[in-house]
Amino acid sequence: MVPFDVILAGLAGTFTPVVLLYVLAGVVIGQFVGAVPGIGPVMAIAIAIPFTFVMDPLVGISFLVGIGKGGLVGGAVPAVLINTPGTPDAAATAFDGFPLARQGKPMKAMRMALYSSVTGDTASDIILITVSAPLAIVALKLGPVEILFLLLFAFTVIVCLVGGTIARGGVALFLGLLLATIGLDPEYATPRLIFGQTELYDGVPLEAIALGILVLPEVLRRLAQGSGLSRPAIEIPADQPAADRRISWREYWSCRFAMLRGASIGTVLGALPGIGSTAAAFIAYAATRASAKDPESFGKGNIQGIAAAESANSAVVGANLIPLLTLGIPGSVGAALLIGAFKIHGIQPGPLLFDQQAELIYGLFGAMIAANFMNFWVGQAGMRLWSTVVKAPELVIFTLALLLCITGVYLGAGGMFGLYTMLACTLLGLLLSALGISVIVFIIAFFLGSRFETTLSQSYSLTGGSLQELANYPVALALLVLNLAFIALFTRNRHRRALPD
Amino acid sequence: MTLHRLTGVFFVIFAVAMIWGVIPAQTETVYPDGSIPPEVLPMFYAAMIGLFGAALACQRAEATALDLRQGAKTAGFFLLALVGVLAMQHVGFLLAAPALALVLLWLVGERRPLWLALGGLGGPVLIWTVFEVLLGRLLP
Repeated sequence: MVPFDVILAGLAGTFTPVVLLYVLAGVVIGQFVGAVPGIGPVMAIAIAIPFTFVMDPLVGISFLVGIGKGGLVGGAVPAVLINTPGTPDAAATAFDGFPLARQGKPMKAMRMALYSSVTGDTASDIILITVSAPLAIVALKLGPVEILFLLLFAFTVIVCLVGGTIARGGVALFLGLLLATIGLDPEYATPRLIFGQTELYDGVPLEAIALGILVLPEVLRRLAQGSGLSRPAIEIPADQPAADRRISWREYWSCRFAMLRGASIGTVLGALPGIGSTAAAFIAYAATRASAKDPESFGKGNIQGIAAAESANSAVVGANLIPLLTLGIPGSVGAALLIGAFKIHGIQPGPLLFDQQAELIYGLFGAMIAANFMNFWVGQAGMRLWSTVVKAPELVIFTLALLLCITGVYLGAGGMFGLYTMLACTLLGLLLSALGISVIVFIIAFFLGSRFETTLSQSYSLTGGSLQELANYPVALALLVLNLAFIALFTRNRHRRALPD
Repeated sequence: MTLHRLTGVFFVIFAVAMIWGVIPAQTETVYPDGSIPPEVLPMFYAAMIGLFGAALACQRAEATALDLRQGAKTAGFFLLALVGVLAMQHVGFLLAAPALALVLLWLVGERRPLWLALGGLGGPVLIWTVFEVLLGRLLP
């Protein structure tokens, strides 16, 4: 168990002006980019990662977490005002948020989204803080063989749920793993697939991959699609009765079950790899509608619908960190990017974090709670400002995003070599998207690739390459059975639904 | 042949090229000491890509068409970004970045002077000021 004084020291580390300032900056940036349709927190985190290189690890990671949390709150603003979610997570919010705004109550809809988002997020963070240390203690008992089979299970789940079809997901997975083998091989320290470029000895720069695969292809596509015109948004009336622009305590309390349901669904789904916040929001929305006394009022501006969707999508953020911090396995692409941020600071996410970096982890927990408070206050104060951001021409912001990508990779990934690597990755990202190969599976596989290879090598040494030796690892065998059962169940369900794969 | 099948064939060819061409040429032969040799995992990954590619090529799927016009426009913007990066290497960020931003904004149809000034001049100069002047980090 982590000593209490270490927990206190970690939390105290959060409440320093520098950390709080960066968390605040992260939340403001997150809400801003969330309010711009098409950018979203994942893109913003990817752009920000290279800039955290010069920061203290707690400051840098707290900043990124602040962006992620702020982005989910900001994403609800365009969902309410222009019926276009700023992030895919907020799509379910638009079902009731936009009709409520059209009834002349946009502030009420945005406030409900803010309050339920912060509520769901805080509930999920409390679960994270409570369960992650005990889970990490269990995870520490897992050896390389068990971790190997756990990684294989995570790969299976991600390929099946995110990959589109098993074949496409498989291609994405092994492409990501193949790219991760570039550099010095961990066993013999000989260069591998570096094509004479000594800069690749440490592998492909994480920043170049993150921005080249996730951000630049999307920026270029949006520039190619776009016109410089602003989107028509619902105007926020200047003078409104308080009942039409505020959420009373009675209204908030009436949504407690919807928020509880949303937070529970978001936390459970967020802790599993590959499902993500968009699915959580839709499932919570559907569950709340199904259990409502007046389901016909949903889709017409019912605040319960907003509460369910927003609490669920925000609850995913904290829960995503459960597998990341306890096992080193990301549950989403945002969490995969955080692995990159940890690695940039020379830290390997996983159960050992609670043993070796406990102060950092509890500092991060403190920063997450602080970010929730800041999300609330920044959201309250900035709601009208974000509603004007919605109307800003997004192509100007995409152009600046391109320049920030160039700046970030130049500073964080070895100058011009990093920039050309990023552009090569952009070509790869465009090609993968054009061929329908999931870049999410690809990037998660890339970030887990070196760990997979290390655990595979260790397992090979432990078992002498003999499959019979696996009989001595019951947990690994159980994970293997679970893996096979998941594949069988998934394939059977696919066939039942008569889908192509 | 549908795009689905073409994708599969593409990855089969990619895997074959990796297994018989690239990986043997780009990995070193080592004296085995009981560990996994350096070329084994890349070979295995490439083989799996080939297998899944073959599965894609064999599957039936609805025909989907590539939007070639959109693809060409995206490729054009990619080339512009490449030219911008090359220009930064030769004339520096402060000159190349505003030029790149202005060209991009102009091409996407932005004609309002305020947004052209903000996005094309204000943004790049702000980035340069923050990183080069305030933080002392050298940009290209």
